[in-house]
Amino acid sequence: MAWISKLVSKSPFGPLQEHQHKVQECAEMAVPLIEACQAGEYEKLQELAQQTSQLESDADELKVEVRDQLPKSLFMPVSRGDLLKVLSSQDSIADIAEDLAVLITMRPMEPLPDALAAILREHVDGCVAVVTQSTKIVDELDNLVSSTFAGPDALRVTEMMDELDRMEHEADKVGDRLAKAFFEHEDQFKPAAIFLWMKIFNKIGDLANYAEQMTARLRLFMAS
Amino acid sequence: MYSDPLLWICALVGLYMAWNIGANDVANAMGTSVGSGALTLRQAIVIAGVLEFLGATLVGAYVTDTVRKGIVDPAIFAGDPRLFAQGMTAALTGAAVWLNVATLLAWPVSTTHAIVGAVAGFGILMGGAGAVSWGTLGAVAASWVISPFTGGFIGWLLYSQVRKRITTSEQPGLAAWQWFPTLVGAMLAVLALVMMFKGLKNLKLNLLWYHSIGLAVAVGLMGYLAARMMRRPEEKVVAGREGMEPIFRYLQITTAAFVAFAHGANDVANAVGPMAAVYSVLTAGAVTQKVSVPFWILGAGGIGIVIGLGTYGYKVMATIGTRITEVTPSRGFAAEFGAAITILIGSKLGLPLSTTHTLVGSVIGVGFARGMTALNMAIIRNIIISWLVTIPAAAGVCIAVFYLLRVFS
Repeated sequence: MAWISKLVSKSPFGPLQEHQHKVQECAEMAVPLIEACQAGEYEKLQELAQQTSQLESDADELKVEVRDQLPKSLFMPVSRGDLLKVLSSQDSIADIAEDLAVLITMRPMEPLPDALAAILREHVDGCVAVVTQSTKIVDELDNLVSSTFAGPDALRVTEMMDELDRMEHEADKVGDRLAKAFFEHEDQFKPAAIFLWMKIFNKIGDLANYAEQMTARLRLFMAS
Repeated sequence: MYSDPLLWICALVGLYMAWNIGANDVANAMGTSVGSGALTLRQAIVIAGVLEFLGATLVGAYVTDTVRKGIVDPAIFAGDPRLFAQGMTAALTGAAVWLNVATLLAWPVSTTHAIVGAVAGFGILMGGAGAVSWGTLGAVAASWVISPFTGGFIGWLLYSQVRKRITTSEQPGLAAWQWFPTLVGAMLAVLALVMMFKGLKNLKLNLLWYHSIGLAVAVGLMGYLAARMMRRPEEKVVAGREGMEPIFRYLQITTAAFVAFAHGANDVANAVGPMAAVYSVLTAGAVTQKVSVPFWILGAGGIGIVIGLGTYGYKVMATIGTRITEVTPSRGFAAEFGAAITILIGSKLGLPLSTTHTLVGSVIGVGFARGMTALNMAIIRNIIISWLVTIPAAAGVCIAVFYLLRVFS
């Protein structure tokens, strides 16, 4: 009967969830990074950036682990390709968080005016919330597997996904509002600062975009 | 005649074979239950040990063909009974050694196939290729294809239904509770039929088919009613998913217990059949078509199986208990029940099915119904290769052992 333990392989969903938790930690770094930048605490900012980069590399290790557990010979209830696509989206979220840390430490940034800083804060919170929602959905994979990706559990997860799409849409709107408000102050910034802030805003928005992309790919699990 | 070393060698090898059957086969019956957490290791060993022993001694083969499955005509040995005794001892050794190897490598091979292969090897050695009944051997080979495919199909069908009606329903716990009596009834009816068609054939009850059906329906109905009464009241049922698996746990334990009993009844013959044949040939000095199996030989076989279970099957089950969390009671039940139904249909249609091969098929079938998180196809390939190798490998070991025996006894 030892054959059963070989025949029935270890679930690839556990490591996938572990990876997403690490990705979540990376994304959450955006909040203290922006705060430290706004407060002008450069040393702390460097430290936080370092920490983000470390988390991203931890996430990469977990990613390799998921891939190692997916030999070609595995027959799974979801397609191998779909699962790898979800993994790749998760990976992108961690990469974006690291990019953000790099950009924000690129040059000393002058603090934003208070009105702008408040919108930026709202934008960061909104985008990180989308990532958090995506992690909640990934955590539902256990239930999805035991309900064989159908029935009331699947419906509940679909609703969580719809909610995520709404949250992402809201975050997009905040992002647009932020950019508009920023250009109202364009004369206060050096060209290099404008260039860099725009990149930073986009990166923050990308956190939510890729969380949405990951969720869209998770939906494929339930189709068929 | 008790001073004849051959008799003692044969008895030892018979025990070794029984030990192997206990270590490999019996762990098969109980493994999914331990893996799914329906039984603890200790419980599984006690249940399997008791039921195997009861199966072997209560309804075991008190009369057996001299040569398992008539793979070789015993008449060709009429002139030299001692040669026959040596051959059977060698065959038993060949099958036991091969089983031991398979257990070590975690291959689910059929004990029946091992013994058939070994005897065929001996037959070819003695009477040339013409001495072996190739038709019988072909039927055995057909099992490689028929068993996993039928088992797989029925396992798939069964789990698809469980999925549709219970797992994915609004309230899986409540649905499982509602289906429980029906499942118990159906399960007991099927198990009763399997028992009458396959397990109790040694009792020679000579039941007519409508007697069997009637009896099975009665057993099923009783089970249905008993399950209805034993169920706790509906308002105390955990309606959600958490409530579902505990209900399947009872069903899975019942099927596993049944498999252990049926296994004891049928497969102990693989160990004791050749042993009894050697005993009868050496005591009577002649080779007959059928031999009776004394109670003490059956009992020894049963004890050998229980020892194998306790000393090695224990390890096999412990591995599964800690390593498989993917097999839940509902999936384990679907796989085991699917295998039982397949065996029932097979034995009625006269298909040469192997319990082991069928169970492998039904586990895969449940996987294809989206029941398992991941099946390892490379392992499936290895398992199939091990089935194909079983017959020539057992035959080869048998031939080698036979030459050794010619030298020493």
